[in-house]
This record gives sequence, structure tokens and C-alpha cells, in this order.
Amino acid sequence: MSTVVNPDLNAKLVKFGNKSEWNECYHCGNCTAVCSLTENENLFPRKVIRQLQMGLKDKFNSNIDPWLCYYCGDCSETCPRDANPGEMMMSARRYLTSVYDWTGLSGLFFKSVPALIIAFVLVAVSIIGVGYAKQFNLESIMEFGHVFEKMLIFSVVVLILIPNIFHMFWLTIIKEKIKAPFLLYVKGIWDLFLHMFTQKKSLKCEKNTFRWFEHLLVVFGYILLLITTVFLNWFSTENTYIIWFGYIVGGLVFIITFDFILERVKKKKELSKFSHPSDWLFVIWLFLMGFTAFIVRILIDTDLISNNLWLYIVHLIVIAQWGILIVPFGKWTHFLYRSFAVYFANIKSAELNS
Amino acid sequence: MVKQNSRAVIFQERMNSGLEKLEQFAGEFPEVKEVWFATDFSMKDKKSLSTRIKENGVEKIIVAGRSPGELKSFVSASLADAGKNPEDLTLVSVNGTILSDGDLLSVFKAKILCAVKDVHFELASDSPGNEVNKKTLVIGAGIAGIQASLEIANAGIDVTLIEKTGTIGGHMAMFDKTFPTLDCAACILTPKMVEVGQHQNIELLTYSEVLDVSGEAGDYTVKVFKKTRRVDLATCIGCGDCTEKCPVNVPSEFDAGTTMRKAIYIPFPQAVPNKYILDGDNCTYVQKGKCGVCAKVCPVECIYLDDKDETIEIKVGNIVVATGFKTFDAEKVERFGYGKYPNVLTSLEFERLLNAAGPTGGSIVFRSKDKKGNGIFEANSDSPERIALIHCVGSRDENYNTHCSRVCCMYSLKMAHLVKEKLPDADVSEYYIDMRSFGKGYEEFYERIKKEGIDIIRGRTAKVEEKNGNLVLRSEDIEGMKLIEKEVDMVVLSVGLEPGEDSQKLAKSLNILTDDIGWFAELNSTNQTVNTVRGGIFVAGVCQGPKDIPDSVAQGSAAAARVIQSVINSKVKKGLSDLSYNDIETKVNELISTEE
Amino acid sequence: MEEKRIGVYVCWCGTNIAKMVDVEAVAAKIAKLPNVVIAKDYKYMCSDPGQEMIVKDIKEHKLNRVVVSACSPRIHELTFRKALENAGLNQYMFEMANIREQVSWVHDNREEATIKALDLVKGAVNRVNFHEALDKRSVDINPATMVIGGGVTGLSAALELADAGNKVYLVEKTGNLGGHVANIDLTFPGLNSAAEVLEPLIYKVNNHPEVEVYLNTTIDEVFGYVGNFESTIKSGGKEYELKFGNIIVATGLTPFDPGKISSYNYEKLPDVITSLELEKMLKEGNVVKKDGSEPKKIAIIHCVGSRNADYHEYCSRVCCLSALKFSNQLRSALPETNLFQIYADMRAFGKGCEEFYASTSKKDVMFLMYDQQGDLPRISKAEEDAGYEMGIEFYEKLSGEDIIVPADMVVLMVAMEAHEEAKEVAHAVGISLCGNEFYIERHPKLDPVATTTDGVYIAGTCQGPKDIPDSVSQAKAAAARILASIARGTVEVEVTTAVVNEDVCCGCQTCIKVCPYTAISFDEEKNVSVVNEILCKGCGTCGSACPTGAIRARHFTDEQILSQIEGLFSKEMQEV
Repeated sequence: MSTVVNPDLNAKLVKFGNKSEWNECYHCGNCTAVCSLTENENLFPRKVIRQLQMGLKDKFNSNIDPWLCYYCGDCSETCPRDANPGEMMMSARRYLTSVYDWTGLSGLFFKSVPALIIAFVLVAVSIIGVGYAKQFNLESIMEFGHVFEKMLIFSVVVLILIPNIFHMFWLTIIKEKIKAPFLLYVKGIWDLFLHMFTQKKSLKCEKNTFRWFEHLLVVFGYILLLITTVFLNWFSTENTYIIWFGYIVGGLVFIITFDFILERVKKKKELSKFSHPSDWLFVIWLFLMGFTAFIVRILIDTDLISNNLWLYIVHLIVIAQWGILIVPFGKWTHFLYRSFAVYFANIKSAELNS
Repeated sequence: MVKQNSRAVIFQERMNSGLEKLEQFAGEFPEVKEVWFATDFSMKDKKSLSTRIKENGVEKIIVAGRSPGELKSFVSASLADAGKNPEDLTLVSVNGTILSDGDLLSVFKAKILCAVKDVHFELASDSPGNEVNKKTLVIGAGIAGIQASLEIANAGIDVTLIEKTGTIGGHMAMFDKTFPTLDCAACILTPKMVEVGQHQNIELLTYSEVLDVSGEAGDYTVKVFKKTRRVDLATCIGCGDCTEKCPVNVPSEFDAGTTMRKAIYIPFPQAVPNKYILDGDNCTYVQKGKCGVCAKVCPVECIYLDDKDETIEIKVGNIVVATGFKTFDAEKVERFGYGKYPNVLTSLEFERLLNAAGPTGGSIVFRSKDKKGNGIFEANSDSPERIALIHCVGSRDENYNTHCSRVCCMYSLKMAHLVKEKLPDADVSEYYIDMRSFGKGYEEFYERIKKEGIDIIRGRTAKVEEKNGNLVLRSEDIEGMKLIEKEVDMVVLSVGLEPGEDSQKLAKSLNILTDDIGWFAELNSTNQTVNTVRGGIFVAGVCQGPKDIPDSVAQGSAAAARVIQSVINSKVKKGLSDLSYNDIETKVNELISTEE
Repeated sequence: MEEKRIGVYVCWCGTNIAKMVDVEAVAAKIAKLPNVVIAKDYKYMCSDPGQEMIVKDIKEHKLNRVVVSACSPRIHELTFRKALENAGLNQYMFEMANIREQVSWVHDNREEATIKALDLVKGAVNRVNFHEALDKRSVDINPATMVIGGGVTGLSAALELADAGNKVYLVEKTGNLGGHVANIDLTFPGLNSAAEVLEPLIYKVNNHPEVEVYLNTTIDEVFGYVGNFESTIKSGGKEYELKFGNIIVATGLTPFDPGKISSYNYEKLPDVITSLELEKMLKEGNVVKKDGSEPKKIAIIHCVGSRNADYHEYCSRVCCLSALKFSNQLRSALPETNLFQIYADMRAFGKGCEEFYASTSKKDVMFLMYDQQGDLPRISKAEEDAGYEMGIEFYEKLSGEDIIVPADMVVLMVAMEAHEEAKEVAHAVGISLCGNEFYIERHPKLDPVATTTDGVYIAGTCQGPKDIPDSVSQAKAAAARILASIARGTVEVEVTTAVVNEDVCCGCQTCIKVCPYTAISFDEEKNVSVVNEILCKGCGTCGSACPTGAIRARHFTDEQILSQIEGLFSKEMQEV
């Protein structure tokens, strides 16, 4: 059955990235061949770009390949048409995120900066509202904050992330009529978590070793910070080990994220040349989370916190914006989709090869 | 007839760098009612212009700018929409890149004048011309220069042919066979070279370069730097005793570095003039004052080791520039490993390797190293079994050269065929983006090659690496929807063409223009492809832009036509940069009065 | 009678001949033939040292006949004849044996090929024994030129010649000058107005004192040869007898009829149009569908009639760039319309053309690749509620998908064909066509504008598809040749014409009936046939028809031909 090509998709895609034109590519195949991650089953970026150019929406929505790219920039650096395939892949990922997201908010936030600002302001106002309701009492606010964080994690996972992952599964596996035995899914679980936390695959890109290491530290730092603040109750604990542990982790996160921001400002590397608002939000908020947590704890330890309540509120706002907006609808999801993409891709190729 | 005072001029963009005067200038004509800018209108809505046309009673529109053609369809659609004649529209190209210096403002003004007065600029700029010196200079003795020289000389006109190297023939002499007919380059070129060498109307100055050009159309004085050959052309008998004894070994330019030559040498056995040449830069005697063995063994005493270079002056009426090209430096594309892996070759090296008169007598072998570590080819080495050819190396690539080099597709197909002919069992593969077999008989040739068992794969190779002593190339097979990781023994890079090293310098001394890439700019890309902005200076062949042999030959002849015509008329037409605004204005008035 | 001293030279032609023929053995064997004084082999006989060798040997060994066994005489007969002249020998004392095109290039058994080469050389040696010295005749060149075809090529050629003060007769079949360029709106890649180029040309030609323009005129027959042609043309009810020295044929092209490709439904679906029709619409500033409404989606299909063995195997060279040009123009005329390019290989090879392709790709144009040799796209009417008029269905090569391109208007980039009357003109002026009905040039690389008939040149698209700059270059190249010959004033012509032995001629006039060039007349007084050497092209038809053997074709005498055949079939040297 022939598919009708759709030139209008182009205009839609423009809103997801930093490229105003999607037809510059003349299909020499350089990007796919220069990429260290491509295999016969996963011919990206060229084939992905082709589907988007032609507006083959259904094919593209079921395509896992955009998630297998770790944006080392080789393709963009060597592209003979300066078509910037790396950035096209990035835009493709943003677009896919909006496809998977059942709420539709993801697409709205990627495309519209005003909507994003309104959402961020709303969250901030609500948190200040809560503070007002609690009469700006430090203890009750901190108590609220602690409960809020746990509730937030639970609801985001159950209401947004799990349904979206299932949607991804439906598009890429079920709709593609891949019928893999259950055992394959079980076997792949280890790999799923391995990739989720280590992004092992990105090591295949030669240039990525340092970045991979930084990334690994951030992921672990972030998770540990999450554990220390949410589950070990860092801000309220008296345990010296936990306090120091939190300091180290918080410091780590904000140093590395600071470096990430710096790279995006300098635009020296291919992958940091183009920054979408969502990229800025991601790195800045990651930085702010570590930074504000770090400061709050210092203030607690120096007993200055009661005079600087607003700093905790800022921290809480950052956490809330991160948890309500960036994690379910922003770039954070890439962390999740990428890992599941590797998982699904392995299942798919195992099934296709059997 | 368009009514008076009903014209509008639309400038494509705000003029800058001294061109602002044009806006004012255009507005001062009584015929011009309105001066607009493209930015005044929404290009997405022709009504935005058509209403202005109707409101102002505009009957005719003049579009001026860098690329006025881009607006043309919008403007003619708007004219039609306003109920006017869509063909009452003139495009005026005021191109800052072609006409860059201050004098050219007058040319732009003249162009606008012509558009306003409904006179074709080409007619108005057609000058009666200067007296012409009958003698002609041709710079560059590749196939285009040879063709031009022969055409001109055959009309009984004296030609001085200047060639930078020691022999005429250019790149074509280096080739084995030529596409698509596969006749050998030497067979068709050497007779022409012989003819040049023997022609009574051609004075050949090899090993010489143009230093400076002064004067005007019809009367140019050219300073020529004559590097000394240190061998007397008249007495040298070409015996070769000197070469035999010469102790110096340097890579041979003619063999694209695939063999070594001596410091005293003949570029190749069929060279014209077929006389020895002493390369002072590499001669031990010239550099260090020692040796001189060649002069001692020479049986006719024709070697003058202490000869000095000289500068001479010649006076000519017309100049044909045919300086050709250089090939792209493949080392710039690191990921193909040229210079790192000995068996990654450029197409020019491979051309020599295929050549019956090349380093191995035409057998395809691995590159080996000589005692000093130079990569050379020896006839008794092993032959590769798997050869890959990669198209578009350094061409069609924003990182290197944006232009298409026009010949690589065809010569690569030809090479693939020659490999199959010499090594029938070889595994030959070609990697391309678009197959550009456009000329007469080319597509048919492509179809023929496809049937010869050669893998012709759409998808330019991305990298070549050495693994376990084999070259491994990685490419996408676009039509086959798969990746190719292929082990091969030899990789041939189809390098593109670039303007010659001295072309900018030459352009400056000739006072002609080059385009963004550095090719000499023609006066008009549609029908004045051999004229330049200067009268009596013509361009031909690849120095004007990449082209193949038939097209270079046609241009060589076309340039010759211009020269012959001017000599027959004893007048050479002035070029655009030789004309003043007043010259053109006078002509415009003349044309208008004859019309009436 | 003088002693016959023959020198034989066997060429290696690099490896061209040497790889399939044992050239050294051939030379060694031939050396033993009677009258052969010397037999040598050399890498490139045509090069300077090769020719020098012949000249030296002629002088040293007092050779009076030379055989070169190398490539086709079409390529190098003249080269070697000249070498003989340089050595002071009459140039007709030469014979060439073609052991490249007829032996090494077409065989794959080295031993048998060598024997065949030997046979051919034996024939040539036998023949050359009977060669006679002939003197070249030099004729004056009439400085006037006839240019056939009033397109941009013909106009450029005419001006180039007339501007040098020579008379030009410009003959155009239609009622207008300008040819196909007259219908073109803009040129690529500069998007300049084609009229800006063409109109000055036409103006200059019409106002040139040296150019006589004959519109609505065709050429039936041309007599004579280089330097002295003549023809009677009918124009406007009058007859003109024209005399001229050279001819430039610039008859141009005919667009391919897309109706031949049934899947495109040309003329069945209203909005499937040709590139020519779109050009007209653009010129008129009004790109609309047949119903008058604006097309929202326009698809342009490349290679219509080109690069496909069912229609034309060749590439038409200009369609890719014309299509890109259309995209630019349509983007300017209809900013909101979706544009599709359905192409095979994008051949943007000219100066500035690749850059033009790159800039066009940034103008929101969807490029789709189809297989021009496989299943061609099928254009069919879309369903009522589809939102577009037609669907173009094909396999897209870059994605590997079967797709449908929605379109309201489809533009077919039609191929260039040789002009429908190319054959008649070829016959009238005595030139040949290649397989594709385009005129064949003397040499595809080094002599693209000359033909094998002296004094007749070809230029522009009648020689093969090409764009305006290349056509104009050819026009000027052809003019250069003619200007050079005019400047010299005379030209040497072949003397291999027929002669009548009046003593033997019985006056039957059979020869007059068979002569294709009406070169033979009858002398009533003497009762014999007389050959007009100017008109005779030496085809030999009369000689073979003559019942009494009175007509002899010079350089092709019975003796020469028979001895060559004898040599060819002699039983000597049947092994290597």
C-alpha cells in the first residue's frame, strides 16, 4: 500500500528544533556511514531524515532509531551539505517525545516558549501560594516539601511516564507487528537498566568518552541526590554521614552541570552548537537543583535557614518545576525513552533475526 | 509602447557600499515614477504589489539587484494580476560580486539607464573598438590552449603560447584513455602537440610565466618570466646521456609523483619540445655549486649550467587565458586516509598507474617504497584484487568545495572499466551520490559499465580505515538499504578540480574577475562564456569552470573565433570595464534615434 | 619503373593494440614481405618521436611507400600523410591498416588477433605497391557561409562570421528567429532573462549588412564541396541561387512527445503539462490549472523520455537544471504552493549549478527519487475528497517506500530529440547521423563541431542535447574554423574523384543515372561522360556501374583494391 507524502510535516518540525529547512540533505549517505552506532537494522540519521522530509508520519512514529543516537556530532561535522543531521535527530527526538506523551503538553512546551513560561510561573506561584497558606512557617513548609516530593515522583511515574512508555511500546513494537516471546523481554531487563544508568552505548562514539563519564557522574549524582533528599531526608537529618554524602553529591551535580552550561554557551563542540529552549532548561534546572540544595543545607548547618526561608522556597520551586514540567514533558524523558529504545531495539532485532 | 512616466524600479535590497547612489540615480529619470524596495512587499501576497501598480498607474517594472530573477515570477504575476502586460518587466543584475570596484558603479548606472530607456544593455555596450595588434598571446598549453592556438595560427595569425611547465599537453597528456569513447588520450593529443611544435605561426615559450600585463584592449604589453631550461633547445639532440648520469632523484610531476625523475629530464617521452630540461630547484650544481656531471657527459655541449632566468616583454593585441586547474588535495579529508595509507590513491595517481606509458606500463600494482621512503610503483609488484572508487572527494561538499567538478563521475566509470579490462577477476566497486553522465554518449557508457560486473553503489563512502592490514571502507548502500563495511586492497579517491594556484595572481595582473571559488569570471554565463570584462582578454577551458575535454575544446575554439574576428576586422571590441557611462549613454541615444 | 621501397610501422598504441596483438611479431614477419625494406614497432606512432622516425627512415632508407598499422585512418591518416609530406614524399604513397578498432578492441584471443592483424597489414602492403602519386588540389574559399537554423546557435554563429565582414545566409524553417530560446522565460543558474540574450542577437542579425535572413525556408539540396557550395532556395515565392564556401548546420531540437508514455496520461488528465507549457505560463505570469484556479501542489517529473531505453537512452542534459529553475520561479510566483521534484540523478554539473541546487533545496521543495528505468510513476486522478487532483504513485528510492505524491499540476520535463527534419538536412548537406539521430561529429572530443564532410560544421543541440552556453560555445567554435579557412583564402581538397577514360567510354550514360551527386554530365560533342570534380565526392558508384570500365576512382582503382584483397587472403604467415 502506497503512502501519501506530506509536505506539511516539515513546517511542524521546524518548531521542534533549530533548523528552518529540512530539505537540504541530498542523500549521500555520509551521516549513516560515519556514525559508529549504526547497524543494518538501524540506518540513521539518513533514513530518519528521509521519513521526516517526506512526511511519512506513521513510519516515523514507530521508528526507534532517533533514540539510538547519542549526538556525538560526527555526522554534522562531516555533512557535505551542512544539513546538520545531528540536530535533525535531536529535533526528531523532541517530536517523538510529543508523540508518546498522551497529555499533549510535551509538544506544547517544546513548540511554544510562552506556554512554557506560563507553566513555570504557574508552578512557582502555586508553591509561593502553599508557603502563604502555611504562613511561611519553615518547618511546616519543609514538611510539606518532603511529602510533596514523594507524591510528585509517584504521580509522575504512574500517570505520565508509564502510560507514555506503554504508548512508545505500542507504536514501536505492537503496531510494527513484532511478536517477541516473553522471555526476550525478561532477558532484556538487565540491559534496560544498564543502559538507563550508564548509557553504555554512547561509548561507541569515540569522541564521547569524557562526556560519557561526566554524564555517568551526573546520572548517579542526580539519583543519589534524589535519594538523599527524598528518602534520606537530607534537610532534616542529623546523621553526619548523610549530610556529608549529600554535600558531595550536590556539589558533583552542580559542578558538572555548570560545565554543561558552559559548553552550550561556548558552542565549540558540534553537539553544543545548537541549543533549544528545552536544552537550556534541562541543564540550568539540573544545575539549580544541585546548587539550591547545596546552599539550603549549608544554611541549615550554619543555622541561617530561618532567616533565609525564601531560599528553601526557591529550592522547592526549582524542584517542583523540574518534577512537574521537565521530568514528564521535557528533555528528562529522553533518559527514559533512550533506555527503552535500546531495550525495544534489542528485542526487535532478536525477533527479526530469529 | 509603454507610456512615459509609468515605470517603477524595484530594488531587491537596500544597496550598500557606495551603491546607494543608484537608488537616487534611478529616481531622477523622468520615465521613472516610483522607486520601491522588495522589502516593501509581502512576497507571499501578490496583491501587495499589484495594488501599488494599479494605484500608481505603473506600466512597466524594472527589477534591480544581486539576483533579480528571484523576484521575477512574483513581479510578473503581480503585473498580470493588475491587468498589465506581465512581460513589461526588465531584470537588471547589479551584482556586487562580479563588479566589485568603484568604477563599476558607472556600469550599473548604464544598466539602469538602458532598462529605463528600453534599450538592451548588450546592444548599448557594443563598442566599435580599438586598433588591434595582430599578435596573440595564449596562456597555458593544455588542450584548451592548444586548441585555441592552433585555430588562431591556422588563420594565419601569429601566436605566442606560454606554458608554465617544460612541455605542452597539460593534464590531458597524463591520462590513459578518455571517456566515453575510450580512445587513448595520447593518440588524439600528441598529434596536436606535434602540430603546435611545428607550426610556423606559433612561438612556444615553455617553462615561462606571465608576470604582469599592462595596456588596453588591442595593445597589451606582457611581461613574461622565462625560467631558464639550462639546455639549449636548438642543439639538444635528446640522447639522454645527461639523465643517466644525474645523481638526483625527485618525484615526477608528470607521473603525479608515482615515479622518480632526475634533476635533468624530459617530462615524458612524447613531450613537446622533446628536449631536456634542467630543474634548477633540485639540481646539486645550481643549489650547491657541486656536480655538473651532466654538462660533462653531454656529447653536443648543450647544457649551460650557469644560465640565468630572464624577463622579456611582448606586445600582443589579444590574450586567451587557458591556465587550467589543479586537483583537490585529498589529504584534507583525513577520514579517507590519503597520505596515511599507501594504497589510498588519488585519481590522478591512478590515471598514471593505468597508463600504458606510466610507471608500470599499465599494470595495476600495490604502492611500494623506494630506498628513501618515497611511495612508488614498480611493475613487478603484486596486483590488488579489490579496488574501490569514491566519487566527489572534495567536490559538492560545503566543508571543501561546493561546486561539482563535472568530470569525476565519468572518469571514475572509465577507471572502473579499465580495471576490469586489466584485472578481469578484480572486485571493483564505486560509491557515488548522483551519477552525472550527461554528455553525448555518456549515459550509454554508464549503461555499458553497469553490465561489466562492477558494483556501482549510491552512497558516498564516509571513511576508510586500516584493519589487520586491509583497508576497510564504510558506506551506506542507499538503494540497497544497508550498510557496507568492505575490505579492499586499494582505494581510489576521485578528486575534484580547483582553480590553479596562480589564478588569483594572474587575474589581478590581467585585471579580470574571478568568482567566489576562484574560477575566472565570464562576462555573461549565458552567451558570453569566453569574454571577460576586459576587451581582448578571453578565457577558455577549465580555468573558467570545470569541464571535460570536448567542452574545453569547444571553448578554446570559441575564444579563437573572437580573436580571429578581431584580427580580420583590425578592431577589438572594448570590454565592460573599459567603457565609461558616457560611452554607453551616447550609444543609447544613437539606438533610440535609429529606432525612431 | 622505380624500385618499390616500403616502410612498415606497427603501433602499440600504448597497450591498446599491444595487449591483444603481438606487435613485435607482426613487424618481424612483415619485414620479410617483398619490397618491404624496413618494419618497425613503436609505442605511439602518432607522437612526435614516432613521426620523426618515419621521416628519418624515408630519408635514410630511401623509402617511397609507407604503411602504418595502427588505429582507424579516420583518426590519423592525415597525421601520417603530413609526415610523408614533411619527408618530401607524396602523401598518397601511404596506406593505413586498422589493427585497433578492427582487431585489438574487438577480439579476445591474442594469437588469432595477431594473425588477423598480420592479414590486414599484408593487404595494406600489397595495396600500397600500386599507389600512385596524386596532387592535392587547392580551391579558393568563397567567404560567404550558409547557416541553417535561426535559433540561438545559428544566430550566434551568423553574427560571429558577419562581424568579421563575411556574408552570411541565415536560413530558418519557421517564420521567426530565436528558436526554442524565444519561449524560455529565465535561464539557469543565474535566473537571468532569456530575452535579454536573445533579443539583442535577433536585433543585430536583422540589422546586419552582411546577414541575409531567409525565413520560412528549407534546404532541399546543396551541391559542391568545401569552399564552393551552391544551393537554390525558395523563400517567399522567390528562388534564390546562393553560393557559399562553408555551411553551419544548427537545426536544433524537437521536444519529446510525452504522450508516448502511457502512465503519465498526458493530454488525458488536464493538468499534466510539459515543461514548455509551464515555461509559457511563467512568462505570462499566470500559473493556473486548466479550470483557472491556482494549483496548491505542483510536482515536476524529470527524465521524461530520457535515460530509458524504451524512449531515449541518452541524458538530455538540461532538464535537471530547468526543473530547479522552475522550482525557484514557482516559489516566487506561488509562495504557498507545495513543490515536489521527482528526479533520477540530480545532474547539476555546470558552473554555479551545484550551488543553485543547494540554494533551491532550501526553498521548501521536496525532492523524491524514482527509478527512471524501472516502473515509471503512474499519474492518476485522485478521489473526490482527497484534497488534491492527481496522485503520482511510484517507488521512492531514497526511502525504499512506495509512495503517492499528491499534485494539482504535474510538469513533465520532456527530453530533447534531434529535429524531426535532421535526416533531410543531413542528406542535403552530406553529413551523417549517429544512432540517436543527432548529427555525428568528426571526433567526439577534439573535433566536436566539424563533420566528416569538409566545409560542413554542426553546432548546438543538433549535435546532441546541450544548454545555451554550450550551444553558443559550439556556434563560435564552428565560426572559428570557418574564419580561419576564410583567412587562409584557399583550402586543399581530396583528389580521390572519379575520372573518365574518354577512349573507353561508350557514351551509355549509365553513370549519369547512378551518380547521387549529379556530378556527371554528358559531352554531346565527344559522346562521352564528364565528371565535375567539384561536385564529385568520390563515392565510386559510377565506377562500379560503368559497363566498359571507363571510369576509374582515383586512389580506389581496381588494381589497388584487388591487390589488397589478395594480400588479405594470401596463405602466407598464417601462424605467429
